[in-house]
Amino acid sequence: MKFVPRRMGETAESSSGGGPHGTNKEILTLTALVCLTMAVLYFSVGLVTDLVVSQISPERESELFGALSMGDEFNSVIPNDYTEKWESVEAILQKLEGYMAVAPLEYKLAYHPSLDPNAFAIPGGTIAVTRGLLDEMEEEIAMAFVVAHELGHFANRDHLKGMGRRLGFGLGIRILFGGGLDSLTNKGAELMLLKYSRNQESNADQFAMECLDEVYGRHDGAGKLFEILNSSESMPKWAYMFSTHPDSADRLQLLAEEWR
Amino acid sequence: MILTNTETIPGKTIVEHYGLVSGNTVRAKNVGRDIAASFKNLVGGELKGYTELLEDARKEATNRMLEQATSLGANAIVNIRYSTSAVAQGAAELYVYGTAVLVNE
Amino acid sequence: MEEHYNLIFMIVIYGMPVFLAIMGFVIGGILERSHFNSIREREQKFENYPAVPTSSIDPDRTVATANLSAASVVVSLDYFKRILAAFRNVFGGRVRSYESLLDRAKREAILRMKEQYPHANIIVNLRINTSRIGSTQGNKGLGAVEVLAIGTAVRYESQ
Repeated sequence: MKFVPRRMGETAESSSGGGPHGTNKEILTLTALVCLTMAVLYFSVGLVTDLVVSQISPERESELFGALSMGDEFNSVIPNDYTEKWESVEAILQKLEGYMAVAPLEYKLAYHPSLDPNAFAIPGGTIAVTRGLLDEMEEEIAMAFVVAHELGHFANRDHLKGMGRRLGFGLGIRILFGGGLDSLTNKGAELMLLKYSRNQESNADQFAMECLDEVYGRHDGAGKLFEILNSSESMPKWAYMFSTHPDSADRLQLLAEEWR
Repeated sequence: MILTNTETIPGKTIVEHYGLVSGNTVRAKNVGRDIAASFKNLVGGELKGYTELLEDARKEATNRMLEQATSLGANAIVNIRYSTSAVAQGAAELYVYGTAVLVNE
Repeated sequence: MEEHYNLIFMIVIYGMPVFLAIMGFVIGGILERSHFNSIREREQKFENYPAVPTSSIDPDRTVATANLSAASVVVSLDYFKRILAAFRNVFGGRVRSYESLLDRAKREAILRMKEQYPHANIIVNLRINTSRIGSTQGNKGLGAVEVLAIGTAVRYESQ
């Protein structure tokens, strides 16, 4: 058969993916779909987690975590010249335990030899305070705020809620998007979880404030730790989106505003 | 438009040809289909969801080829070849090509 | 100071995929456009030199030479398109980013066949194969695809 050259015009491009216009449309629809999916997943995981956590009693939780070992540093011997301070923290804890919103757990204190002023709420009811914290928190109200903040984490069930979200959301994202190339979704998920963690911290601050108002009748001077942290922090505001804790300046402001 | 996968069209004479016409499409399955298929995988048999998906894609690719043939003024496509290949995890390409020809009625 | 190192680390960790995606989008887009332009230009040049899957030739002319012509093109998606493709895998549907890539590869392979025998008049019995090469498991694979085109380049005696 004879060949007759003819031009097929635009249809020559019918398989080339629709050109730049097609690509832009695809980007928009896919981005929207991905954001929507992640949002739906995040909220449903949150809902399920909170529901499950509400079914687990604090006692059961502390049993679950009872076997958890904390690492050797947390079992360090308290230096002799700190015994007095240590006793005062124990007294504070006892005082705060009287606040009705505190979760009914058997609270224990643990000592950590780090020089950075910090405290941790360890699942199961242990509150660890660092040597640095004992050094810096001279006023009782300042130390009480830190302890109350950790009590807030227990009262809000932050360990289980955070863990459930991390697990469920991470798993969901992995199943849906796979863990490989689309690391954008993993990073996005991580930022969402960090935001949740910052919210938990703010809520624990709120709890601590209410607790102090109830027990001590005041909370001025309670933000001593934030003042210390704030003076050593120099990150720009936007950088806190990568952080598990909110900006100390903001936390101080929250305390000040509520006081007024 | 007459479509065949033979060199010639039995009973008709090809007058002239206009060259290659082709169409392709790449389709991805979705998570829902995947989950359904993984259950079906246990018992074997036809994966209806996938059959549908590929059938659909093949139609689309064929349509693109037909578009090209029409714009060339052809009234038949001969020696059509289909090929399906997995180009990435979870995505398959359906490609179809043939020679656009003019036949005597 | 330590805080700043942390911050830089975070920016690298989180910024890298974003940076790669933007780079893929911009540079990959430019490369694709220029490739398509070159394909169209060369296709124009070979307007009278078809490649067809049928095997019959012009009955009015005598054949001078017939040679096997084979050409292959290996292509890969840019990072940005790979993300789009991975997202497509969740929702299903048409993967435009792959379509344009494979279209480019096929047209390029056919052009290369013709360029191997630039003085031939027609390529007959054209067959085109697409196969995925490199890793076939998971979506960590390279995303590389080979398009192989083979056919017989026929040159007629000059009239």
